[in-house]
Amino acid sequence: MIRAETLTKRFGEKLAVDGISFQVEAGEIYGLLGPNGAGKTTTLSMISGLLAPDLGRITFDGIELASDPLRIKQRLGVVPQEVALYEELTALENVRFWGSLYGLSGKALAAAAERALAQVELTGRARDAVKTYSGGMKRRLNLALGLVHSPRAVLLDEVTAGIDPQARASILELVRGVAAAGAAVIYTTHYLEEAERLCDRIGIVDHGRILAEGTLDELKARLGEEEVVTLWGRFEADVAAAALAGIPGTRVLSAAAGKVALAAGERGAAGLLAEIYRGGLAIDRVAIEPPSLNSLFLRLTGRELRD
Amino acid sequence: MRVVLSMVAKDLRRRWRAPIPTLVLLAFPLIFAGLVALTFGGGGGRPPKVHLLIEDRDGGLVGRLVAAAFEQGEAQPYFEVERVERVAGDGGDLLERREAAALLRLPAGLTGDVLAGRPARLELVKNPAQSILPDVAEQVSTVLAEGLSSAARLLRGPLDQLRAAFTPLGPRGDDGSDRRVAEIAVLVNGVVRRARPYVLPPVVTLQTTTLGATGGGRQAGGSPRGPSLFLLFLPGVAVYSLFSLSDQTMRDLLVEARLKTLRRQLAGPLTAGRVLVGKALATAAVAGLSLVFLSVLAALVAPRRVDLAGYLLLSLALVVATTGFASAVFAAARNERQGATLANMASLVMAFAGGAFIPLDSLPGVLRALAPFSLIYWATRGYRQLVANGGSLRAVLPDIAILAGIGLVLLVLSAPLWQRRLLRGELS
Repeated sequence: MIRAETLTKRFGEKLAVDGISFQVEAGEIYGLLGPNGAGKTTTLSMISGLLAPDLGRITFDGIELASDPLRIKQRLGVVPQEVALYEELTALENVRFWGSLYGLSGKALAAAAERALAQVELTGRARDAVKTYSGGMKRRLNLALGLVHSPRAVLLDEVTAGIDPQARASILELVRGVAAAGAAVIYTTHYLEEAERLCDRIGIVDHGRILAEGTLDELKARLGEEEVVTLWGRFEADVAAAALAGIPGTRVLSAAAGKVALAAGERGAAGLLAEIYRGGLAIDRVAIEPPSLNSLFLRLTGRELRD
Repeated sequence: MRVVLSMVAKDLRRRWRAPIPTLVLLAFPLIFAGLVALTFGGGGGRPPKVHLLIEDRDGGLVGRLVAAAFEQGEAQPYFEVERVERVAGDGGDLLERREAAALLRLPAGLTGDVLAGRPARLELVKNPAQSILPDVAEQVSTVLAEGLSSAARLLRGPLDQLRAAFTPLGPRGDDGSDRRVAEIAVLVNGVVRRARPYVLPPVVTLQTTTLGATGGGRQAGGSPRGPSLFLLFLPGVAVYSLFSLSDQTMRDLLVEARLKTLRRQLAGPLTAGRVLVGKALATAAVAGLSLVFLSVLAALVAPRRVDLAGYLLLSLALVVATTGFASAVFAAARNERQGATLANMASLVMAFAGGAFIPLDSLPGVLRALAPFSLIYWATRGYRQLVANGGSLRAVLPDIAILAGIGLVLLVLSAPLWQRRLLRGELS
């Protein structure tokens, strides 16, 4: 349904997106997972027609976005990272306004507005001014505005940022429902757990590139059964890296002053730790992490996703 | 079109829900004009009287005529004349003690000089502590001096005959006979009255400039009660407020950029041009509705018959002008704050130079020369013509043409700037 091919975007000297390609089918939730500044929002901006790519192309059901942007935008629902609402207006007025921009009017608009508000469980507060809403309610309304016209594809940009776990769970449930109804969903996040729980396929993004892509299982399989061991202690980065590099079957994933991460290899974390203590490195604390998206990200980029 | 109307309705609704900034700007002209009327015009909104001291060193016919000019006819409602004996020095102390606006000195030998056609000089000492009132006295005196000069030239024949009658009066023209003075005064007044429509254009009289009417002058024989100060000041200040209201609405495009709702609109099936048209129409709608509100209120406070076609067309032209101006300022501004500063400064300069706050005649020459470059000048001039002077559509056609023309030019010039910024993602 949506196909992005070698999307590239540069802002001055900074290469924000560097040849990103992916495809999302109807009913599928595709996650773009990466840290802040990885290029996720810029990618969504290009797909939603807000930014023109320097290179590459975007097609929607085979129609190129650049050739008929208004027609394609009509089928897209965009939910931005920021809560973009008119706070002086009521929720109903907000939803009706955004619905009208997509050509809805009369009874169709009224029905769509009612449905969208019901989807985000705001029917009871529909006639209250948005400025009286809590942060979580605003987030839900923000989502409703992108769904009011029943889009065939939905672009969701960090829609759960800064909300409590209960509201987040509610939004994730809603997104699942949207995909189940047949829409293609592109979902950007920097929360590993969200990507793991929600997305059918995940693209791990950093520095404007997709480093790995696949289902959760496919991505974990790339790590094998390797555990990741992280060590904190009183050592310099180069000294630690040199000491650990000598241990067979182990790879140093990242090394900084006082902190080193390494893949345990086939021997497992317990065997590795015995070797490390024998080596005399001054270790204060140890963490052992089973194979996960974070450990994959660490392996791919040398840093943790949550850094 | 439905989408654009929906955008306009949304903006009007938002303004309705957060009305304080709009109400403040709408109340400003009413409060300003009302305060001016109350301060200078008493409860009835009448202009203040100019307290004028006259030191008559001449003591002859012309001196008495000059003094009488301030106490008779159309000048009478505006002047309170007090005759004083010889004043020492520049008269500053006396002006301060008597709280007078000005001291007019009639030189010794004035009558003889005027009758003989010799140059004569009146001396006026103004009291700066009396606001604009001394300027009023100055303008009246200037007109009087010009009138006297004209009369001396035009009445050369009668004066020659009169001079003979004065010969026995001595160099100061004072024979102590009130009867003879009265006879001569009646004779001269008769000539002057007959000649008045031709040689003394009544529009030059001062009361039209500072005291209540406008630069156009009130017609001779009109109501002796001039237009109230409220109606004199309301048009200019209201026009200034409309410019500020339009700035506020157009600035909303940058506010929406900050709120990210603009980005969201552009992610929908809308062109940048349509978004821009929607905001411009909302700006025009706010200006138009505000104009209706102010007009109705002004009509209730000070009912006046106006040329409806002229009023409507002038108002439409003003709406175009305020929208164009606001669009140009905010299209050029890099951000919301810079735009607001620019718009405030430009509106204030236009208002001062355009005579919105202070009548043009009281402004220095430099500002008067700048006035035609101010949109507020043309709007204020037009409304004063219609409201204060009872002017017709024909009288305000130039104002309408200039306002609408410049407004449209500004809209056309600013549209590509907005378009470029929207398409380059500067606002999203």
